[in-house]
Amino acid sequence: VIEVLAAGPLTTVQDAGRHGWRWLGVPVAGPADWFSHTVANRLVGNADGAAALEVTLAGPTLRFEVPATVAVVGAVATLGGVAVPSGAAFPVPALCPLAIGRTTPGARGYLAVAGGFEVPPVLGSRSTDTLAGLGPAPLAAGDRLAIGRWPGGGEPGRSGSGGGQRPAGGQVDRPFGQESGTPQSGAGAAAGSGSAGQVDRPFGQESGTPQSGAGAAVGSGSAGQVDRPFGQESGMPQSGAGAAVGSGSAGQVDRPFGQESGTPQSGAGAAAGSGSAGQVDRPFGQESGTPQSGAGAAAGSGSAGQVDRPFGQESGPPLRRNPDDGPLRVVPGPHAEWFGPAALRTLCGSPFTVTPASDRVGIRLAGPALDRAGGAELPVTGMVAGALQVPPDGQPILLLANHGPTGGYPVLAVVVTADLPAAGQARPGQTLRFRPVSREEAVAAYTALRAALDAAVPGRGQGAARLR
Amino acid sequence: VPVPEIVIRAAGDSALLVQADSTAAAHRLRAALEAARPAGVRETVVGAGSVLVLLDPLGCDLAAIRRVALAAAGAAAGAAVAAGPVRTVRIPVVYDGADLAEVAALTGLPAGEVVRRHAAARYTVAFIGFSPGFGYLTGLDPALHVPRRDSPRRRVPAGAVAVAGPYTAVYPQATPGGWRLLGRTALAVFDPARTPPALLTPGDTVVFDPEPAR
Repeated sequence: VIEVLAAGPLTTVQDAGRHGWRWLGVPVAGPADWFSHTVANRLVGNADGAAALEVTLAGPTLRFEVPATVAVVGAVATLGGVAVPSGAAFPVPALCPLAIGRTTPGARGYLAVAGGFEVPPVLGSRSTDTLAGLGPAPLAAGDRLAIGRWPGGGEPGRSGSGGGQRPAGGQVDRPFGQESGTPQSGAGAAAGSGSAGQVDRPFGQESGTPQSGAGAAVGSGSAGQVDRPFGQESGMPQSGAGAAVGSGSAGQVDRPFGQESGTPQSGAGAAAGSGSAGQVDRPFGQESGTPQSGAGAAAGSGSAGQVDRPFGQESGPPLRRNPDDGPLRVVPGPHAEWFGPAALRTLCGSPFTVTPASDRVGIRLAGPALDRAGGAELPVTGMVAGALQVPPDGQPILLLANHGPTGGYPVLAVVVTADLPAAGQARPGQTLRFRPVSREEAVAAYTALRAALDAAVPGRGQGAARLR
Repeated sequence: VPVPEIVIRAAGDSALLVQADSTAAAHRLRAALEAARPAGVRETVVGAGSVLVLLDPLGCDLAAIRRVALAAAGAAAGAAVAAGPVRTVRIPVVYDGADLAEVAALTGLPAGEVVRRHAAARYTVAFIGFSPGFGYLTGLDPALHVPRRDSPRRRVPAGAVAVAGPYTAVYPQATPGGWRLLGRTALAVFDPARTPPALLTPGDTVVFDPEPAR
C-alpha cells in the first residue's frame, strides 16, 4: 500500500483507457502521453497499459509501506531526499518517501510501480476520467493506493539474472548500448558519466549528483549544467546519501541495464547508472537537445543513428518528446469543406500558443483565426484524440486523451498518433507548430515509433529471447 | 437501384469518418460494421449522419471497411433494413422544469400543451454523446424546436429532461448545460455498475410518461 503524503497539482491514475464505450458517450481517458506511460510500465516489467500515475507539472510525494520497484519517466524525483534516475527502474524501500518533482521536458510525467496501481476498475478501466468523472478521483493527500501483484508472479526486482523477471529492464541497454555502454567501465567512467550528463539533461540529471568520490567530479559538473534550466535544488544530493538509491537491490535493478561496472554505490557505478538512464531515455526523445543538428553528444548521436534506422529516411527522432522538438504532424481533414482555402495554410504556417485553459480534455490554442466557411454548425460527430476542432472564433482546440467521444465543431486536421505524446506534453505558453502529412506517412511514423519503442524498451514477451 | 454514394475520409491515422445520408443510415452502417468487424476496427461512434470508425493504425483492412460500408449503403438504397428488434424504453417524467414557462412563451403554446406534445411523441435515440449516456433523441414535435439558452447553466441536475433544437434528452449526470429544462426523471440514466451502463442505446425507441409531481 502507498500513502499519498502530498498530491501535486493534478495526479491521476491512468491505464490504457476506457475503450469500447464511446458509443455510449463514455470518454476513453488514458494517458495524455501514451509513449511515456508505456515506457514507465515496461521499465518495471508491467504489461503495457497497466495502471500508473500521471503527474501534471509537479508530482506527488508517496510513502510506500512495502518495498517496491518504481520507474519515473518525464519528471525529476527524489527518494529520501536523494535524486533518483528518470527513465530507469529503481527500488523504493519501505517508508522512504518518494517525492516526484517537476515534470520535464514536458507537462506530464509518469510513475509506474511493478504490479501496477490496484484501484477498482470502472467499465473495465482504472483510468481517472476528468471529464465524465469516472474512475478514481485525482490523488489527494491521505489517499492510500494498493499495488497489484506483479504479473510475473514474483518480486520483480528479485532475480539478479535480470532475464525473465525483468524482461523490459534487461533489454533497455541493448539497442543503443554499444557505444555509450563501454566507456562506463574502468577508465572510461569519466567519459561515460560526462555524456550521460548531456543526455540526461532534460531529465534533470538527478542520478549523477548523489555520489561522492571519483565519479562526482564529472558527474556533478554536468549536473550543475543540468540543473539550471529547471531551477533544480542543485546542492541537494551530494554526500554519501546516494546509498539510499544505490544500496542493496539497486544493483540488481541496474544490472539488467548492462552495467558491468558494478553497483551504483560507488562513484563510477552511479555515473554508470545515470548513463543507463540516459540510454533509456534517448530513443524516446533525443533529449540531448537538437539531434537533427548533429551537435549532440557522441554517445547521443551514435545511438540516435541506431534508433533512426528502423524508419529509414525520416531524419528526425522517432519521438517528439514535446512541442519544441518539431512541428506536430497532422493529417488534413476530415471536415475540409467547412473551412476556407487558407485555413490549412494558416494552421501549418503559423505558431499557436498553448493557453492556460488547457487540460487532459484538450489544448486550447491561440493564434491567427482559422477561416471557417459559412456559419453553419457541424452536426454532432464522433471525435478522435488529436483532432483540431475549430469553434466559430477560429481558435483551434487540440483534443487530448480525455476528450468527449462526440463534438460539434468541424475538424480541420488531426495530429498523428506518433505525435500525440508531444501534444500531451505541451505546457501553457509553449508554441505549437503543425505540418501536414498524408495518412500513409502518419502510419509510417507510428510504425517507426513502435519499432523504436520495442527496440529500446521491449514489452513483456518481446525481450527474454533476445537477452540470452 | 441507384449506385450508393459514400464518402469515407481519414480522421488522422486511427479513424475513418464515414458520411451517411441520414442518421438512420448511419445506424445501419454501424450495425453492418459491428457485425462484419473488418480487421482493425476497434470501435464505432454514430453521429448525426456519420459513423466514426476507430482503427488500429497498424493493422486495419481499409478495403474491407469500404466494402462493408458500400454494402450497407446499398442495402439502405434498396429496402429499409431493420437492424433487429427495436427496444422501447419508457421514462417517467415529472414536468416541472425550470424552463417550461419560457418554452411555452417561445413556442406560443400553453405550458400544458408543451407537456402534452412532448409526452405524445415516440422518440429515437439518434446517437449518444456529450456525456456518458446522454442520448440525443429525435422525433421532437417541430413546434417544440427552441434554441438553447443564451447562457448555459453551470449545473443541470441529473435526470433533467430538456429540449434544444430538434432534440430532446435526459441529462445522465449533473453537468453544465444549455438545453431548456421541461422536467425530470428519477431513473438512473447512466450507472457504470449496470450492464449495459446506459439506459439508452443508439436506435432505441423512447416514450416519456407524465407523472404527477410529488
